[in-house]
Amino acid sequence: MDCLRSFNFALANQSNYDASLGFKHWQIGTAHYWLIDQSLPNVKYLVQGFKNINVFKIELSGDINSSPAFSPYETLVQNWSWNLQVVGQNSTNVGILAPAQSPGYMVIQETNPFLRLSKFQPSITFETPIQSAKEIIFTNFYCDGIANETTTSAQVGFVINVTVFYKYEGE
Amino acid sequence: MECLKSFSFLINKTVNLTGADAKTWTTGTAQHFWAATTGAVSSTYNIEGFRNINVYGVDLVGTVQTLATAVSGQCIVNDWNIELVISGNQPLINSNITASPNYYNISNNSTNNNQFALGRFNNTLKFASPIESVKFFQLGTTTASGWGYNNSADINLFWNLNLVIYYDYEGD
Repeated sequence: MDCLRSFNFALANQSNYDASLGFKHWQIGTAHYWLIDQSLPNVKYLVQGFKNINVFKIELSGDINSSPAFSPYETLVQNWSWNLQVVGQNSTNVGILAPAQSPGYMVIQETNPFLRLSKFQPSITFETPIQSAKEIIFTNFYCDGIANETTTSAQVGFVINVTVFYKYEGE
Repeated sequence: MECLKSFSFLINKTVNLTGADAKTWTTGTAQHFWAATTGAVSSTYNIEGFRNINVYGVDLVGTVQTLATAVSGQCIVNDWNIELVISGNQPLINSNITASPNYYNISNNSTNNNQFALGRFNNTLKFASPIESVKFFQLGTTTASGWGYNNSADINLFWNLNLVIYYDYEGD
């Protein structure tokens, strides 16, 4: 990893998520639980310029949380994740799945169409890079927690900084 | 990181947040929750001296907790994060952001990119290309949340943290 370069970009937003945005509430007695499972939108960071880049690592830093300013939609966030799609050429697999896929309980896919980065696992590293990366797409925001004061929606906000470790193709 | 230097400084502050900065609520008997923010406050560590520094990483080590000796406001801190601005020249590549949809406000301009948030569960930054000629580190808004507040009118927070900066001198 010593010869890599890096760049970073930021995501910053806050929203009040209701059922139309994937919010689900349930309770056990007076204990409140919730999750947000938002399939869209896809947000794209487009790589441009004369030279292609090979991506070796992506790391998220930051947190998602609630705030007193969100009252009465504040809540406690326990976990969060995004699906990241790096549009490029995946490393060549050295194996294939058994054709019959039986047992195929885990629904393994031979490529990595999505990288799932989360609160407790915010980084992914490759020895063989994703080559000629053209786009980094954020989609499928997921968030869950407890103690939502309002049962119909929850408001969360975040500043997430994304650091991409790369080399220029040919270096 | 083998050839880097480092320095560190201490963050040591206690406050009882009240009013609009401290929200407490319940979802039933004995279910006490809270969320608190310091609002728009800041402290700035300025870099001085003859040589500029290039920053390769930052670690924020320690806790945001509550003080037993506080008059009131004790609570269990479940999560916290502090905004950090690193003012310098950001490494960039030639890039663009798809204008719509941009639901998460992705930004690649240097004013926004120098904003980070370090917290209980994400307390480290590492760069392969440094932020060059860093002039200052500015600690901004702290947001925290948790449960078990002792008093619904205030939340006591105590910052007990070290910020470690990994750098080299420009030209080294």
